[in-house]
Amino acid sequence: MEFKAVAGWRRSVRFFEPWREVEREKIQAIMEAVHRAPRVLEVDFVRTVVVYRDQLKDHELTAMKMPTTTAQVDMAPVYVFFYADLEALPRAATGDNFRELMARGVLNRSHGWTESFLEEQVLPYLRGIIDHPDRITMRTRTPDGDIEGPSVSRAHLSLARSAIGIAQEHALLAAFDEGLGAQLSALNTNIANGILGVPNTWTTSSPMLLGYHGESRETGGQRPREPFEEDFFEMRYGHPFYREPAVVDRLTAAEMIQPTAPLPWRKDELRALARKFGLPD
Amino acid sequence: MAVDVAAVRSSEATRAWLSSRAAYWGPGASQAGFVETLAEFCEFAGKMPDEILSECLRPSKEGGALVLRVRARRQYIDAIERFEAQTGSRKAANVVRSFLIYNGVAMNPSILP
Repeated sequence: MEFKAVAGWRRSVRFFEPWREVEREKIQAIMEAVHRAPRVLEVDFVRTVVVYRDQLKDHELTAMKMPTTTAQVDMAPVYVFFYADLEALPRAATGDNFRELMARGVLNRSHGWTESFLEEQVLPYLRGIIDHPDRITMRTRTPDGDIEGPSVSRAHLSLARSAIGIAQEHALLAAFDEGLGAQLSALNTNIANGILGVPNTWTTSSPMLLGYHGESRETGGQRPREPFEEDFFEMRYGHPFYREPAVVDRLTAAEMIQPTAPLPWRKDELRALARKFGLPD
Repeated sequence: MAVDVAAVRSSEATRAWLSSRAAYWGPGASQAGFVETLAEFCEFAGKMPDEILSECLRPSKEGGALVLRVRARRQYIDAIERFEAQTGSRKAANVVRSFLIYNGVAMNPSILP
């Protein structure tokens, strides 16, 4: 699929075909996309754990469910948990990764990268983030109570979570490119972390539910957005970015811009889906 | 606890549910037997509709918006599952879920296998 169509067809899919497994090669393609996602400060923060619903024990799946996302968790055959390893930044603060990128011609003299720039400016900047006194303590919630983890600066956590956000977006787009549906959803990540055995130095965000569409690809239409001119500016805040109609036409032809929800038949589809899966309407 | 269907029908929460549902799906949406099913659940739970709702939603300290009581919702999720098991009817249980959903208590049951 072309990029514009991928961007246009991406939706938060809430109905999946529960009986249809996702081919492992498609999951790998998604992970390969995440592996190539932009890195915040060139740091390898991102980790993922792919979980197959049908390989979880019943009590594990039940424990992961939230009262407001049970149906889609039942339907999706695959869950992808995203994490950022908070130990990645201290590792990056040794400078080894930056030295490798300089040696490979990625970080160059043309942009000011030298060993002394690294030692005197970049690494102290990273250490300043790591050691910043505005800190919080990581906690893991377990059935037996909270377990305290390491202390981390808010700035450090913010970078880590940005990295997860970028990874999630790459994963979502790759999923649709593979002909799948996906949604970032709520699962009980505190419980999940214990089941999955992830280190307490990993922080997380919303997992991605993955599967084949159980609803139409349109899922009722593209979600409404605020008017383009209210959110995008040129040169100065308050000066709207001019939206050229011919460009809108071109992107519509390329399926990036599609009809906004609700499509006229959406309620009929929702009623049919509720009946099909035994859900309230 | 014997439940008077007319009292269930006239309760504020029931009227809000039915009118919201009709507004969403349109006036032609079938709601036949809904109140009777809710009354069955009320008898099962020993609570009237307004009581059920006030257990799940409480006024915020600042006033105005209602705040969800997560523990109470959990109890009703479990009660509805028991009601479903007793009646053997997902349809009946979904009527009760619908009552809560349209009154602002989100719930999202497991799908039928």
